[in-house]
Amino acid sequence: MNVPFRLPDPALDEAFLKGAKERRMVQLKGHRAVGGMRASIYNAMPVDGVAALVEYMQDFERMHG
Amino acid sequence: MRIFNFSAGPAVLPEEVLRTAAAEMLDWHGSGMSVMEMSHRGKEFIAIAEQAEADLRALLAIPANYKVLFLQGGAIGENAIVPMNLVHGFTVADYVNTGEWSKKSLKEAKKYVNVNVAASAEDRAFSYVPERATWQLTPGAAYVHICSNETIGGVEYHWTPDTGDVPLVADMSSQILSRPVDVAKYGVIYGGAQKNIGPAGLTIVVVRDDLLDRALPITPSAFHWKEQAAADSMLNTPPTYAIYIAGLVFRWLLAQGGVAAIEQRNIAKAKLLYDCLDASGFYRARCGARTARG
Repeated sequence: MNVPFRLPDPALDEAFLKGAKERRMVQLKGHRAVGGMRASIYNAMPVDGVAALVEYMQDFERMHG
Repeated sequence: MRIFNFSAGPAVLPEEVLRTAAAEMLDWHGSGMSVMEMSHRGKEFIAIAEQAEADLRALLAIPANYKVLFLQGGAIGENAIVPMNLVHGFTVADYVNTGEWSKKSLKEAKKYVNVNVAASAEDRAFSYVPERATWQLTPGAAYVHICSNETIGGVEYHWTPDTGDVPLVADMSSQILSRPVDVAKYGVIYGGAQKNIGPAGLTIVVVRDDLLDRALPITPSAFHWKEQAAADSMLNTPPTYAIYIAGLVFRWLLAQGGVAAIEQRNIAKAKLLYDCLDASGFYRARCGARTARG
């Protein structure tokens, strides 16, 4: 239900969140206790939303990896 | 246009539910009122609450000897309310520590009972669920508490621990209704609604009725499960609008095919995301144990 993950460098976090928002994906910032990112994929999150996130993550990795 | 909202809670709700709520906002079913404006003791709202409970019971196949309570205070409130309701006549409660939410629960419980940490995943940064065989349970404990899904760490139980005669208590805030659960294996299931059910403000407690005689005398009436069960959760004014929205979500879930169908969708979503993380040398999943991912 909750998928926390990290980028290789926390300095990339802001760019990741900004790019996600441009693609209409929000609230991906991890909990303040642990940092990083977190995607919560509760019942009401459609499969299309997760597919869009994965596509964005792969694009972001190609640009910054 | 709607956005994809990955918030941990308050969180995304089904668009159909929001559209129904919008359509019924000014005039619920010809009553001439919004649900927000109704007396909680009027026949309209009583019907809404009864339907919500019936639908929740159907979704989780809740046995008849369990009470369903619609309360307030959230899971953090329940961290105190659980021991207050369960430890009278007992000296120890067992807690399994799998992350930030387990830690909060056991810290709060210490105000009311001696806490034994039966197992902890802290040694590996809360990235797994300790196997049942490693748990050091206390014979005669009041209960065994777990957090079945750690919202912060992402660690989830995909199995139900056997705790023998000692009742199992689970904080299921971020897991409830995501898949079928055998309620009969639990003494108490509780959760804040704002993650996988509905708006903040509603707390759901499912409690086996033989556990209703264990409350400390100091337990406030509003949080006293037996008193609330006797009053159909209306000893104080319940969070009426949150119950109404939760009821619409229950209806939506039933229309999706229930929790068995939604589980398949949830497995597919988790696989998409974890496959991406595992294939990448760039991202790293926090939850290392594949068996504890959800």
